[in-house]
Formats: sequence, C-alpha cells, structure tokens
Amino acid sequence: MTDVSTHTPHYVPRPRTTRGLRSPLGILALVLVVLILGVAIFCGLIAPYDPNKQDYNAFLEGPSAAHWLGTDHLGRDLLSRLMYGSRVALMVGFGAVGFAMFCGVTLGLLAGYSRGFLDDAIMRVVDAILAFPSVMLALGIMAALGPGLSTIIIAIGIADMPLFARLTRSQVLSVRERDFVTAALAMGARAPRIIIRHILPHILGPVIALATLQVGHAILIEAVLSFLGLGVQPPTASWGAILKSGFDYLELAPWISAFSGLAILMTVLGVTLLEDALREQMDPKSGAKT
Amino acid sequence: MRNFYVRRVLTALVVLFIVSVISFFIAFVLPGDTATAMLGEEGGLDPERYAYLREQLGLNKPLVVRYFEWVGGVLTGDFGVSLRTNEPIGPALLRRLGPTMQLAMMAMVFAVCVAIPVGVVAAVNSRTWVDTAGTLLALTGIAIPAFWLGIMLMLFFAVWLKWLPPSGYVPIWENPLESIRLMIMPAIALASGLMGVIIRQVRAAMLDVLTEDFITAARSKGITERQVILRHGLRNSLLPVVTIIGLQMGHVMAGAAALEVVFSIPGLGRLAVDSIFFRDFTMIQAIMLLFAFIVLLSSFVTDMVYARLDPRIRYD
Repeated sequence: MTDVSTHTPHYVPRPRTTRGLRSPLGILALVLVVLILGVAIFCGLIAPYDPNKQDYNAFLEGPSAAHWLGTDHLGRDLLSRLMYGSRVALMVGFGAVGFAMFCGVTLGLLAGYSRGFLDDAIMRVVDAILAFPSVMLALGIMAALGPGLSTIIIAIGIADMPLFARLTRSQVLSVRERDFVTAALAMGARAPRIIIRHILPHILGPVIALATLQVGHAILIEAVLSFLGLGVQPPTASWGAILKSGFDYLELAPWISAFSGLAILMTVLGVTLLEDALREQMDPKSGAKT
Repeated sequence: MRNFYVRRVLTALVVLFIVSVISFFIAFVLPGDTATAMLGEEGGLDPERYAYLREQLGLNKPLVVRYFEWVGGVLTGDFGVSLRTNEPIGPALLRRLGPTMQLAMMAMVFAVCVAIPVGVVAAVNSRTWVDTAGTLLALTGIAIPAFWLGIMLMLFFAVWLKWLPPSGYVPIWENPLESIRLMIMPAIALASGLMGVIIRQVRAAMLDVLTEDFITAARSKGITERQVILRHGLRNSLLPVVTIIGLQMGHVMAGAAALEVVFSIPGLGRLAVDSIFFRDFTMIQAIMLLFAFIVLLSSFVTDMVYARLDPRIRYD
C-alpha cells in the first residue's frame, strides 16, 4: 500500500480523508467500541452498585447524584445494570456470530470448492434458512429450545449462518480460479490443504467485515427476543429485558426505557460504523488512501 | 432465455420444499407434546382422554406421514386448526395479515420518501460533511432498535405532547384517518432500518452512475446540473433500490413483531409471539411457513422483474 501512495495521481479531485478508520465516523466508531468493550471488561470495578442489589428507599427514582441514571421498579441501580448488560450483549454478539461464522464458512468452503451436487444441496438448504426472516427464525428456534443465554446464541447463530455461507462460497468461486491455486494443485496439494492454506486466508477480509456487521445485528435480535420475554431471563441484566420492564413503567419512569435503548443504540452503532470504516479501508476503489 | 425462467422456478420449488420441512419439524423440537398442551395440567393426568386426543390429532402416525398430510392440507388452503382457539388457521392468518401489511407498506413509503433525497444529496456532495451526515443517518437507522424508537416516539408524541393516540388498531376501511394516525409512529419506527439500507444503496448507485460517460455527455449538452442528476443520474440508480425493497418486504413484515406488541396491533408478528407463549404448535408452523413464503415470493418476483428490465442477468 505504501508504494501505491507515492505515485501522485495527475488529478486529485479532493483530499480523500473523509472515509475509512481515520475519518470522523471511523474515530467515532473506535471510541464507541472501545468504550463498550472497556465497560464490559471492567464493569466489576467501575459499576457503582451490585446490579441485583435492591435499594428499598429508591423505587423508580429519577436520575440523581446517588443513582446517575435512576433506579428501576425493584430499586436496582440502572447504570450498574446497563453496565453489566453490556456483557450479555457482547456474549450474545460474539457467541452467535462466532457460531454462525464457523458453520457458515465451513459450508461455504465445501460448497464453493466441491461445486456439483454437494454445492447445490448445501446452497438450497442455505437459501431455505435465508427465506425465514431472522427474527422469525430466531423466535421459532427459541420456542423450540426454550429461553436462556446459550439457546439464544444458537438461535441467532443459525439464523445468521446462511449469510456467511453465501459470502464464503462466492469468494471461493473466484479465488479457486486464481493461478496460485492452480500452482498448488499442480504441485500435488490435496483439497484440505488447498482450502485451508491457500483459499481461506484470501477470503477472510470480507468475512471479517461481515462478522463485524452481524455482531450488531445479533445484539439487536437479542434485544428484541429479550424484550418479548423469550430471551435472557430475569434477573440477568440484559438490555432487552431491562427495556421490557421499563416499558411497563413508561409514564412513571421513562428514563429506564430511554437509557437502556441508548445503550443498545450506542453499541450497535459502534460496530456498524466500524464495519463501514473497515470496508472503506480495505476496498481500494472507494479510496481510503491517505 | 426461457431456460433462465425454468431454472429459477425449479430452484424456488426446491427451496420451498426445504422451507416447509423446516417449518413443520421445528414444532416437534418444541418441548412438551401437543396433546398434553391441549389438555392442560389437570387434563394430562387422565390417560384415557390423553390417548383419545392423540388418536384424534393423528399424533400416533409416523412423522413423515403427518408431514405429507400437513403439506397436502396446506396446498389446498387447509392449515389445520389452532390449538389455542380451535379456529381454522387459514382465516386467522388472513385476518392478521392486513394490519401487518398496512404497517409494512406505510413503513416502506416513509423509508423511500426520506432515503432517496438523502442518498442523492449525499452522493452529489460526496466526501463533504453532508455526505458524512448522510452516512451517519443511514447507519443510525440500521443500528437503532426499531421497537425502542417506537417506544420513544410513543413517549414524546402520545404521552407527553398528546398529538397522537398511543396505541391500538382500527381497520383502514372503517376509519381511514384514525387508522393512519394510529399507525404513524410504528410505521416510522419500522421504516428506520429500511431507510438506512436504501440511503446507502442510493448513494453508492449514484456515485457509480455519476462517473459514467453518458453523464459527461449530458453535462456537455449544457443542461442544468439539476437535470443531469435527476433525469440521468437518479433514473439509472433506482433499479437496485427496487430490488432492495423487493428483497426486504418479508423482513420488514417480520421486523414488525415487536412493534405490534408495543403498539397493540393485531398483526402476524404478535400472533407469532402469542402462539409461542401458548405453545400453539400448528399456528407457529403456519406462521413460519407464511413468512418464508412471502420472502421467497417477493424475491422471486423481484428477480423476474429485474431480468425483464436488465437482459444481462438472463444470460449469466
């Protein structure tokens, strides 16, 4: 990349610094993501209260010096609950996407490399799963497996898997025609070696960009499921569940709904912006060169 | 060319078959058994009634036989009866489809009306703060939890300002004005994600189109920049937008589930949520199948329209 930038183009329309990781939005993305990760890792140290400790003198109290974001209907400190909620959100986000990525990439590699019948069979199943809107599929799987943190991870993971399979397959189809794959074949390398050593490293970029985006999507679906009462069960502090209890007291204590939704928005916006910036950075056509 | 259509139809049928298998079998992973669920806690203790009910429901037959009986029924429009209300599922689904469709349609109109101008303006002012603001709006739309946006709108416009009724549903043919007033907030909330996706699509398509030779040619003819952008640029950027709307239709309808709960709209999504709580297996099967069918149908129609409009697709 460095010697590309030493070639000054004849005509530079405008300084190209408004996109990519160094753009204002890229910086905002990094700030949000680092903030959320920091809170999730250190919430044991920085949270002002125990997330499940009830203060019997403070039910549904508005924001104050003692409780910065107020308290809920059981007198629990909202800020502390939201801080601990970031752990649930990130566990679901990374867990579900990790699951989806592992299964999806494996299927995509198999389909793209084998072509023929196996390819058709895998892709039709992938199409079928993709036909279910992800919220509906996750709802159905949650109903089948019962509520809980691990089932929510599996449910969202299954719903997200087809995207990874499709992306991987299309990438494999273009990479497998390249000369270095032919060369590896000519040298007598077997399929597993070609797939893992030669093809996989070339397709990881787009897969990681998709994974970043899907972490946000998974957090959103978890919030919906928990809000509907089918996700993480109380008393675990999950943002969706907090929002649900806040909605029951919307007129009395609007801050519960407002702040818990803001927590979700900040996190998902952070990863969505990060994906956008990463893609700009990786895609030379959109010009993130500095 | 005919080959393209035939192949597309065949693939769609295969996918539809797999979809029906998934919808049917997901209900059998559900904990508990239909007969127990119907009899309730006390009834389940009476082995004779239990055995009778299992016989009645055909639960003693092998799963594969039951699958084909179910599919046979679905093909003739018979989805069976709801375990919760005992009414036929087909008419119940039809009744619930209306509110969800209205909500989705209104959301699409809102999304398109905001997104196209924003996308065009962002592309024309590419790499300025206007573009950055457009991108931020698009990504916020994608990142915002729609049901939370709905709750916040309800808080501001219904609870505090009292401009709009907080929640409820009136069929549009009974009282069109009230029906639309009730749906404004949930529709705006539902529109947010779609709006974000369309803004990005319009912006990207416009940026692409604006570098084409025919744009330079149009400019060199001396017509105004406004005409270049609207007549030549936008027109050629809209095709992908049509595709996106087609592909998102089913997802927007499903995404309405939480909003239907928040705003007490008797739509399909709320029916799905209620059915899960009541272990209404037959209803869950039917709803899942219906949603997947809507998604497949809209993407099929989109593909067909696209292939008609752009002959290059057919020869791939």
